[in-house]
Amino acid sequence: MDIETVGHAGAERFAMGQSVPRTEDPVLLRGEGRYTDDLDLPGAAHAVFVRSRVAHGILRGIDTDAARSMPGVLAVLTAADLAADGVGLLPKTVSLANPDGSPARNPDRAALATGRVRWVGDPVAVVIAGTAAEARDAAEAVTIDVETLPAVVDPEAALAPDAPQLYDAVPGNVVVEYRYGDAAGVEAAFASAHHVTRLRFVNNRVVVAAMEPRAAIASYNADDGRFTLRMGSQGVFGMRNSVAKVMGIPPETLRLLTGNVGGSFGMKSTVYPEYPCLLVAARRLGRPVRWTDERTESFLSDSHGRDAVMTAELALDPEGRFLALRVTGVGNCGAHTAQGVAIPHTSNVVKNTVGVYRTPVMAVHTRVVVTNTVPVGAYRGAGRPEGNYYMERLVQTAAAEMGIDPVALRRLNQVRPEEMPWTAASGQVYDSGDFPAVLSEALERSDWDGFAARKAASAARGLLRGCGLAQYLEATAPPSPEMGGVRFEADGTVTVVTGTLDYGQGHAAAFGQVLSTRLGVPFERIRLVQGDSDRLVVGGGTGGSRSAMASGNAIAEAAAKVIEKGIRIAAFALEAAEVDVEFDRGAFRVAGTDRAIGIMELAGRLRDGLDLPDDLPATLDVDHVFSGAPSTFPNGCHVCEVEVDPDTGAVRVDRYTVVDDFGVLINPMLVEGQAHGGIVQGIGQALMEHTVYDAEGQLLAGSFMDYALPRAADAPSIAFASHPSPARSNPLGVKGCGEAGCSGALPAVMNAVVDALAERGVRHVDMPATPLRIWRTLAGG
Amino acid sequence: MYSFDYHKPASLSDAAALLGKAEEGKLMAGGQTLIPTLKQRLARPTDLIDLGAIAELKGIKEEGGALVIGAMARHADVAASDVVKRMIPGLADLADNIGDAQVRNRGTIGGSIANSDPAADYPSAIVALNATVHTVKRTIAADAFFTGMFETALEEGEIITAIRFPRAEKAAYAKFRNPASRYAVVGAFVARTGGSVRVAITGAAPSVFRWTEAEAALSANWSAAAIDGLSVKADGLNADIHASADYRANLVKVMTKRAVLAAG
Repeated sequence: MDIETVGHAGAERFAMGQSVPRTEDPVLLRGEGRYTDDLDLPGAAHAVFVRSRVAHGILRGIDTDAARSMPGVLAVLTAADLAADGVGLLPKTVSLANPDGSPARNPDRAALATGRVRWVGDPVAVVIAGTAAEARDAAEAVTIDVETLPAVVDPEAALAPDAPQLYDAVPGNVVVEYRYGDAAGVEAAFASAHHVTRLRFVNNRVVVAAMEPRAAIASYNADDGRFTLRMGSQGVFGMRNSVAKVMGIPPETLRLLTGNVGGSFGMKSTVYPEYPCLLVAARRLGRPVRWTDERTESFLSDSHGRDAVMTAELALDPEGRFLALRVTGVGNCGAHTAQGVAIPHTSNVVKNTVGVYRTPVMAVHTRVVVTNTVPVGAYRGAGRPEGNYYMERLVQTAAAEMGIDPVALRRLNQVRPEEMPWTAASGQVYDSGDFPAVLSEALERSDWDGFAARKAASAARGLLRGCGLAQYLEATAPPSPEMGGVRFEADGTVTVVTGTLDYGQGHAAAFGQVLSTRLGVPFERIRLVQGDSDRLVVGGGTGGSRSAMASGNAIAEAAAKVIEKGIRIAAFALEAAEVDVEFDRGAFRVAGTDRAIGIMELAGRLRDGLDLPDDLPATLDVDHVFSGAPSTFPNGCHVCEVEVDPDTGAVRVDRYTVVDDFGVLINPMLVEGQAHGGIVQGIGQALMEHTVYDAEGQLLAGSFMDYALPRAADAPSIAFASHPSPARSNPLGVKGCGEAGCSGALPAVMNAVVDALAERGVRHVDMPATPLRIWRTLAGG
Repeated sequence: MYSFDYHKPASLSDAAALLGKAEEGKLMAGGQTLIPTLKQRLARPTDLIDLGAIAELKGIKEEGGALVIGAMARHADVAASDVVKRMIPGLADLADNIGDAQVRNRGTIGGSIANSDPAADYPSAIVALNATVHTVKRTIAADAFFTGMFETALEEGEIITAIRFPRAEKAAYAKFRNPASRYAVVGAFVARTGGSVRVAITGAAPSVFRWTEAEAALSANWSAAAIDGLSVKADGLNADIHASADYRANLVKVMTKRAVLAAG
């Protein structure tokens, strides 16, 4: 879709580095956005999915006869119908190998259940009817005959020898065993260490709960054999290819359109079972078929996040120097690996735990298991927050155990700016960063030295105050190709085409700023096109905090190509030699003369039919493919102060300071907003979000009545500052900022909670630090 | 939601007639519990009878030294009422902290107590203030009104018309909110009326109950310190993923103390 820009005057106000307001906000705030469910396709039928109510069982039969005879019902589809129409298996996301070289065991997973049901919410059938109410009535009439089997929901329990087994092809429920590092060397370092700090962490499962539920509308044109799928995604190009593969159709026969998206956090990035079902139904019925999730259904149908149990260990010498780091444990990917992913429990543990510290060696040994739970997908950070949480809790605990000041312990071990580029024990090469200075600025801005007085004031009111420090570093997504298209349109606008996709980030302003700065085209003439797969030649999509690096640099390089073409055309138009034409601030100029032509004017001349020689390009348009930017290493320091009410266990976040190194900021306001959102999401996981299953696999926290998301009143006022060290690994010098808030918030909040309780002898509290958990911890239970 | 016939009668007699005729009729006050229940298809009435247009159920007034609140008074009305704030400010404060602004602008006192949700706020005020529930048929004393979880002394089709509260000397409510739903995990309403002390606890058990030990202690010594020596048994208290029975027992004591402090 096109996101209209709002006109302003004054080019410098729209340059990189300015806090340009989000151009989509006036549209979205007036309710004029186009989310998937807002679209009205004439004649569309409605789909409702029938889902398993038991967590594990043998699927004996599905009786759809009664449903088929209900008023308005057009079709009832099961797995057999999909197979008959040539639909294949859902994608297998885990590409890692086991230590013995064998591939990961991704179970076969069709869009609708075959043979067994494996979680409460597992889709078994889909009912299509003329109205949503008719479809819902008929869905209730579908009966599923299931022979219930014992369920397993906890990842550690899934490893037990007598645990219920989900798949014959996944022995022991283990999808993959993952090893990184020199285990023997690490073991030797631990054996000879002066001190070892060891903590076991429960990285609590969270429900993603995007503001806009998932929705999709499928249609099929029998004349040209093309499908159209309108849906929320994180990038249409990759989604188109993945959906087409499941459907068994050539990618070019599917057009994937994404309009406005109300949040995703990783959740909307995968091929869900609903999409092929809707496409099949649209082709069979010859009319569009639409589906919108209901909130309660979303708790069971959307991938969850996090869910791992890890033990992290840090070995130190007598002065507190870090000698070795080890992380072992198990991650839960839920019932299958189409939405369930392994990265948070494997490679991202490696990349995001050792952080800003000199630590010679590290080893990671984890297993990823299937359980009878909602699949666990990527969720804001996807291992980055967890890794930083493990490390910063270890550092805090080690300081307490060894009687070393936690700030001094960090300073002793930090990589210094003059040591860049630094190859960390994770194998990652940090290109830039000034960790000591970031720490110093955070201490100063948070009034670290004033904490003791504030603690005394809290104590006078019967409250326990704690202060938590966390210096995080994370690795953003590895490089992948990304499109930067620039088109000079007939109506005088300039279209930027990106393969990344905005689902709340504010790409239109930021990317417009990059193009306006590099090409001198007026900001208000720039339109962003991102959600139409027919317009893309490549697209990596948004994810892993990559968009500023991927699309920002793709646009910058595309702009350079436009200038290259423009110089040749301008030379002709200005009757000068190409070597004499320079480009500066939006105009091509013959050096040393006043002869010049603006880029917009040149585009206009081309549109009007400037008679060019054959060897010159006919337009300024560019479809550039950027080869990709290496991972960046955003880092920063969070300081959090909490007050704990010992009588009730309630925790209140009172003060929050963050100093971030996100490299060069394209739009400081958007970046600060990303930090705020990530921090509040981190506070949610740390203090509130508690996804509880019972032993039978029923989700007890299955609605907002029982699942606590942070509200505005739960969020502190956040003091944000930028302390940039420009990235040296990409031309714009930018670093990713979308997930970093979570990475600092988990450890900062939990260090503060533990610090508050330390005077009562508490050494560790697991997330979420709910009132009940805090009260029980203080009661010694 | 399943389909049903919707009615909005203008008088109590019309409402009673509609209810009598309906195959499976359901009265609706503010609908703050009923509508979500309908939307989740957990109830299937044939007829929904909306009490929102019946003038005789509305209004808040002082009558013979007592506070009389019409059954259809919304929480926001009670919270903003000068009469309530003057006579029993603790009750206005309770109303002002029910749910969120949307709930307070739709939910009613009559609907709340007729539903008798174990985690609702109002039942504690009804019992602690020794209010009288007036219906189309009779008056029911507070202690006889709430009979169990989602159960009351109301008979089939019996409509609450008003609640009459004696003026209290001291009254305040303190609650600990469920972090997700913001319902009361435990709420304590303390009141001293005509020299008699009542302490009513909501959220902790299947139905609102009086904490008689605290009443005796506060009768002897109206101070938060009077609660210190007491203990609450966890037996029979509610337990869920947010609060175990022993945690609720602790909160009964903590919230009672805070209510006494708030009452002054």
